[in-house]
Amino acid sequence: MHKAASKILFDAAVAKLSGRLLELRDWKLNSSEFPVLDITFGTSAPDRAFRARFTFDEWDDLPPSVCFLTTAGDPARSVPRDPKGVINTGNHPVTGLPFVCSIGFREYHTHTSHVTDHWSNYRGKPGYDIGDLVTKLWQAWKKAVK
Amino acid sequence: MKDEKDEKEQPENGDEATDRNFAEAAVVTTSGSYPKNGFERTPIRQKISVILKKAANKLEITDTTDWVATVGEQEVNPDSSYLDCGLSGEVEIDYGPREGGGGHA
Repeated sequence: MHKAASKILFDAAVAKLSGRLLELRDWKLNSSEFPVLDITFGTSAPDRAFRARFTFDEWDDLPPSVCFLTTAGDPARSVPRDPKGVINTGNHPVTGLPFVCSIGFREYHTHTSHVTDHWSNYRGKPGYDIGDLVTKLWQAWKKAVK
Repeated sequence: MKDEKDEKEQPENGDEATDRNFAEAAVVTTSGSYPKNGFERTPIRQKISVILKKAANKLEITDTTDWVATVGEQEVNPDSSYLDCGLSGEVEIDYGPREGGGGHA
């Protein structure tokens, strides 16, 4: 997809991640400048806070890549695992870092175990827009730290 | 069987009793909030699903299969009423998809 078109989709979705939603979910947007959505979950409890950087380059031809970060913004090598294994604490064969192992996230689709499960099967379908994907990771994080 | 949409709460004893029969409800999603600002006055015996459906319609959310509604840390059953869930006053309902499945890679 053309970068300008991708940015339009990104900006429209990210504009809705604001105000009431951020307050209710205790989210903080550290950066929302295309193609990066850098977000912290659980900002009011620093010992549980969880930061992730979504990169939506070539959205939505490609699903977002997600890198877990320390609160200081460095790549995190240790993350809490949720019961369903959405947050995979092992090292991804490409990035060498913990990753999101769930449909709709780039590291799932590029993992050697799932390369035949193509993003094109899900792209544009309900549950796979930007807000949905961020929400899914947030839900997994909540279960991981419960 | 009562029609939920037409359900009318009768005041028991003036304004205070009337207020006890209502919650102030709002639904918050990544597609926006319903109502856009503030809350909607809602009978406490009304099913939570009523406002969730209104929100989905208004916010043009086409598919809420496997979505979860939560208030605070509490997951609420949309087929329950506010009263059933012990909810009163201002109630902000977070509504969005569950985390989905892990890939077990």
